[in-house]
Order: sequence, then C-alpha cells, then structure tokens
Amino acid sequence: MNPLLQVTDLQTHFFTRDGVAKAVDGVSFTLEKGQVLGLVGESGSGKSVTGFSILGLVDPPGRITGGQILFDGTDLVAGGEPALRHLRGKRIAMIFQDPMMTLNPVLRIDTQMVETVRAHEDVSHAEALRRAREALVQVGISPPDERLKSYPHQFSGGMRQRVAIAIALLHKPDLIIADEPTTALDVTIQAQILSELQTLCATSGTALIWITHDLAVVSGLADRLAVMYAGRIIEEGPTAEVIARPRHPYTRGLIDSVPRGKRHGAMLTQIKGMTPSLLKLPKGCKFMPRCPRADRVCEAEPSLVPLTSERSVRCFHPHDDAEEVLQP
Amino acid sequence: MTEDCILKIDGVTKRFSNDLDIAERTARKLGAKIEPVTVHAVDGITLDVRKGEVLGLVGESGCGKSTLGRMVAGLTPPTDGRILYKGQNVAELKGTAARDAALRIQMIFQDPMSSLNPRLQVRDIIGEAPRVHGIVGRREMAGYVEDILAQVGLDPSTGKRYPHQFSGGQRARVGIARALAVKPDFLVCDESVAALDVSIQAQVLNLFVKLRQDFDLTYMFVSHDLGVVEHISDRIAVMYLGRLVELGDAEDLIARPNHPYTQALVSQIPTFETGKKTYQAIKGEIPSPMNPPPGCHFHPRCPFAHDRCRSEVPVLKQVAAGRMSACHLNDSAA
Ligand SMILES: Nc1ncnc2c1ncn2[C@@H]1O[C@H](COP(=O)(O)OP(=O)(O)OP(=O)(O)O)[C@@H](O)[C@H]1O
Ligand SMILES: Nc1ncnc2c1ncn2[C@@H]1O[C@H](COP(=O)(O)OP(=O)(O)OP(=O)(O)O)[C@@H](O)[C@H]1O
Ligand code: SF4
Ligand code: SF4
Ligand SMILES: [Mg+2]
Ligand SMILES: [Mg+2]
Repeated sequence: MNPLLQVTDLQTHFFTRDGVAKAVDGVSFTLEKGQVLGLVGESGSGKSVTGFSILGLVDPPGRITGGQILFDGTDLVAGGEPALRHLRGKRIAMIFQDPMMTLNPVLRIDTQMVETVRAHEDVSHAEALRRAREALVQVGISPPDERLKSYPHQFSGGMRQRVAIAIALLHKPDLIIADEPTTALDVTIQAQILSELQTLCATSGTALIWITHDLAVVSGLADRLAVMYAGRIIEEGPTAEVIARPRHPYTRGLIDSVPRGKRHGAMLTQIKGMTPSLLKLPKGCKFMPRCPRADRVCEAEPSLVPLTSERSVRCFHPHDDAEEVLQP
Repeated sequence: MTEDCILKIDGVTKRFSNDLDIAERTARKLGAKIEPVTVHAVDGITLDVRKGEVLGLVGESGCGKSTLGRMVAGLTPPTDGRILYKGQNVAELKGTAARDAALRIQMIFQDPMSSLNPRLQVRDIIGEAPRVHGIVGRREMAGYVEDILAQVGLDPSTGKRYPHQFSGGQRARVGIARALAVKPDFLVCDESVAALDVSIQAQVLNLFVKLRQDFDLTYMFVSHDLGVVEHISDRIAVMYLGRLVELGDAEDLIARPNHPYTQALVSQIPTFETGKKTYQAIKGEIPSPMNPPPGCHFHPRCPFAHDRCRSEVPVLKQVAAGRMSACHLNDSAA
C-alpha cells in the first residue's frame, strides 16, 4: 500500500534581492495513515516552509524549485493549484503558527466556522453550526454558544490558537499539518487538545505532522521524529530513540538546552555560535562552524545515511549509540 | 508601600462586555431576557512587584494574564483599582510624564505578527522609538539596531527585511528587540519565548538574566512553560479565572505548591517520554470568565471542593513565610 504522504527531495527557495535563500533544500520523508511525525529544529530551519510547500502556499519570491510531494498518489507539485484546491481544508488542513493566518479579524467566529464547513460539504446552516460548536468544545473553549458569537480580538492568545485548531478539525481531514499548535497553551488545555487529536488519529486514521520546538510534548505524541537544520533533515528515527540517544551533534545540543533540573537563575546551555544566514551557508556540513566534533572531513557535504533500518543521520562523526543523554 | 516595590497593582479589575447583535437587540426589545455578556477578565488582583525581580505569571489559557500585562504596560485602563508605577498612578499621568512612563514600561506581545507594522523594515521597527525619543543619535542608529539584532540571535543583515519574510521564531525575536531598544526599566514579557526552539530560548533567557544583572531591569514574565518560569523567576504568581490564587518564592512554590490548582499544574509539567503517552481530556465543563462559578472559581474542578467552596470566595492570605494562597483548606488545617 502506498503511504499517505511521500515527500521526495523537496526544494523550496526564496529568490530575494540579496540572493537565493534555500529555505527547504532536499527534504524527504514519508507518512502513513494515522501516523504522527514530529518535525523539530532550530528557528528558521525551514519547518513552516515545508508545511506551506505541501499545501502549495509558498508566495513569491518563493517557489518550489524541485522534488515531489505525493499525497494519496497525486503529485501536488505537478498538479499545482487545481489539484490542491479541493484538498485544502477538506483532506489536508493546516494549523498555522500564527492563528491570524486562519482567522478573519472582521468576522465573527460562527460565521467563519460555518463557512468553512459549507465550503466543502452540502449541509444546512444549523448542522454546520452544530459542528462548529462541537469543535469548540473539543478544544476546551467555554461557554461555546457565547464564544461562537465573538470576534477574534475578543479571545485570548491561546484561545485564538485553539479556534484555529477547531477549524482544522471540522472536516476530520486525512492529514493535519500543525505548526507550533500549542506554543502558548498551559498543560491542562494542551492535554485536552492532544487527547482529541490522538482520538482523531486513532478513529479516523488522520495523519499528523507536528511542527514544534517543544521536545517534551512531541516525545509523548510522535511516532517518528525528524530534526531539521538549515533547510535539511539532519536526523530521523523513532521518537523515543532520537530523544534518548541523539546521534547528530545538533540534536544533542538541542536536548541539552532544555531548562529542566538546572539550577534556578543559572545560565542555560546554548549551542555555541549563531544560526547561519541562509544566504551565507558554509560549504560542507552546514553545522560545522558550531559543531564540537567538526574536523577536516566535515568540509565535504554529509548525506543522510541510514544507521539502522529505522534511523538515519547526516553526519560524518555521529555520537555513539551507547551514549544516553537522558535518564528518563 | 515598601521600599523596593516598583509597581503596585492595587485591587485591579478588568471587565469586557460583548455587545448584543441586531437579532438579540430586537429580541430583547420584544421582551426576551437577553443580557449583554460580561467577561470578568481580571477580578480584583492586588500584587506588588519588587524592583529588580522577575515575577513569573502563570495560569490557564484565558485566565487574564495578557490583560493584566496590558494594564501594567498602560495599554488599557483598569475598570476598577489602580496601578502605581514608582508611586504614581499610570492611568492618570499626562503629557511628558505619561510618555515617559510608557517608555519605561515595555511590553513584548504574545502575538508578534499583529504587533509589528507589516509595511516597515525591521530596522525601522526597532529604531523608530529610540530615534523619536532621542535615546540614540542618528549616526549611531544603524550600529545600535544591528547590535540588538545580534543579541537576540538574528543576523544583523536581516534588518532590511519586512516582518512577513521571517520565520515565526525570528519574528518573535524582532518583537523582543523592539522592546529592548528603548532601554526600559520594566519589561512585561508575554509568552516571549514560546515560539523559540530550546537553544535560542536559552540564548534569549540568558540575555534577560544578563540585562537584569547589568541594568537592574524588572520583569513580569508571562509563560505557560513552568520549567522556563521556574528557571527565570524569583517569585511566581498563579492566576485562575481572573483571580490570583497563589504567590510565592519560585523554587519553593514549584516544590511545595499549596493551592490545589497549582498542585494540578505542577503535577502535569511535561517531561520527556520514552514512549507514546495517552493524553487525558478535561473532565466536566471548563468554567469560563463569562459566567464564573460562585465561591471558589476552581471548585468545579477541585478534588477537595466542599460546601464552603461553593458559596464563599477564599481570600488570598499568608500561609507560610513569603507564601500567599487563596484556599479554604488552609483554614481547616489547624
Ligand atoms: N518571504 C520570505 N523571504 C525570504 N526568506 C524567507 C521568507 N519566508 C521565510 N524565509 C526564510 O526561510 C527560512 C525558513 O523559514 P521557516 O518559516 O520555514 O522557519 P521555521 O523552521 O518554521 O522557524 P520557526 O521555528 O522560527 O518558525 C527562514 O530563515 C526565513 O527567514
Ligand atoms: N478585547 C476584549 N474583548 C472581550 N473580551 C476580551 C478582550 N480581551 C480579552 N478578553 C477576554 O478576557 C479573558 C482573558 O484574556 P487574556 O488575553 O488576558 O488571557 P490570557 O491569560 O492571556 O490567556 P492566554 O494564555 O490564552 O493568552 C478571556 O476570556 C478573553 O476572551
Ligand atoms: S558532519 Fe562534522 S560538522 Fe557536521 S555535524 Fe557531523 S561532526 Fe559536526
Ligand atoms: S477553596 Fe475549595 S474548591 Fe477552592 S481550591 Fe480550595 S479546596 Fe478547592
Ligand atoms: Mg515556523
Ligand atoms: Mg495571553
């Protein structure tokens, strides 16, 4: 059986006045029905642009310059807008990092949600409203009837984020791309939403791409984890293994930076050096200027090579499998 | 007012009323019992912020943290109560005094996209206030802006870009840079590191700590991430549905939470999982600030709720040295 989504060597570049920014530079992964893929990595590493590319939402001066995105057998890159138009919102939904990309500031929430339902399904206004109300309850917005009559500015930041999630749930899509969906949510509300999504994945077979920097949440949610750096995937594998035994020096630095159990007020570990500008990337391994393990070998470009049947890493000197970082 | 209190929040309340729409107004004229809905976003909060401290502010989504922060930053007046900055009521200041206070207290907004002017280049967004207020001379401006960009981990050459050309986390850092550029005394950080990956988050938190050491900056630090809040704060204030329910020394509060809501929060701090976890839905209806439950706002979800909780509002009082909590259980435990 074909996977639900197969992304092969995706290239998405921005042609700016100062040069070409290769925001996504050769990303490949597959996703099965009902599976959850966690996409993590440094700010600016290309996670959101990967999501936008799947939905065909990259605006000029950016465009997809290469690669293939197969969704349920259809090539979305070759198919372009006509192929995407009736998939978007219905079979593939995106929860944007910025909820105001989903919400219209001048329309009441009920109007927006009812429109979304009726855009793809021929149901009555009353039925659409019932579905909208149900979705708000799922994301813990209370009291739903009064809140339906509110405008986006009358919600708190986290509530706006939740309304955007509710809108993505309306059609029980086959694929949800969730971009930092719970960044501003407290643990109780977060658990509520994660529980709804887990139910959806289990009962409707919805697959999920969970873009986040929150390693703790993704560690309990995702089946597989892909770590991005400078437009590429640099490590990939089953979540628990990547978290417990990161092989790439960047992944390791990322996990070491989490402020847990550190002395209060003390300086936190940060990965040394700065995120490279996409316009002046180093030759060879893109992580080289910041990497504690770098040597002459790294002046060549490493490729993503399988370590086992389950895991792959893009590094000439990966960490030893025996080195456990976290004692869970 | 104590010697070291820089900001006094004195019985502050904020209510919003959502007006009726046409259909509802008509129905009301015809005799239907429809009232405009009032949201009790912040409900009688009293709190001193000490000079040079980091006060962490946590609580459920929608409990009023941003609203309180906006009032502290002078962006919206309280419905009731007063906010005194260095002894002066911010809402009553006029002219230069008002402008000065507005500069001294800066807010880093939760939602960077809607708080940054999309038509300005980032270097102008950051440089505008310092230029207008003469904080930095014209000639030093370019270097000044580049320096701040580098401090928040952005490539100084990105100053020419517009907000939409950044990633989410990069944009959040533009918001931080803008607030820092006016050299404030008091910073309200609203989920300022929420969009940042851990390494950059560490860099920004380290910057906050350093600024505080060097310039004695005071912070009100709103965040849902208890790990981050515990790390950076001296004290933590916990809100639930518009009210302050617990306040105390950061480490001690996380180690020994008194209020049942704080206990629930602390018990759910996410940790790294070694396998898939099954997340739990919230049981029962989530209380809302549109029709808050009587008595203790937390009683519909509190495992220790008893009769008194359903009718009487627990007052915030000292339960141990440096610790305040608002729960009836503290009375019965004699
Ligand atoms: N319109 C644009 N013009 C030029 N560069 C852009 C544009 N949009 C995005 N970029 C660049 O592409 C890169 C990838 O951006 P993307 O939004 O995918 O990052 P991200 O991994 O989602 O980061 P974050 O965690 O901060 O949201 C960034 O370096 C960003 O600056
Ligand atoms: N302009 C407004 N009009 C009406 N209601 C509002 C307005 N601003 C905020 N509210 C309401 O006030 C309450 C508190 O909102 P606030 O933004 O302070 O919450 P918060 O604690 O910051 O939440 P979050 O963690 O989700 O950002 C919410 O119920 C919200 O719907
Ligand atoms: S290839 Fe070399 S520079 Fe790159 S991550 Fe591995 S050790 Fe570091
Ligand atoms: S006052 Fe009662 S309901 Fe409120 S937190 Fe204490 S025990 Fe629970
Ligand atoms: Mg992003
Ligand atoms: Mg808020």
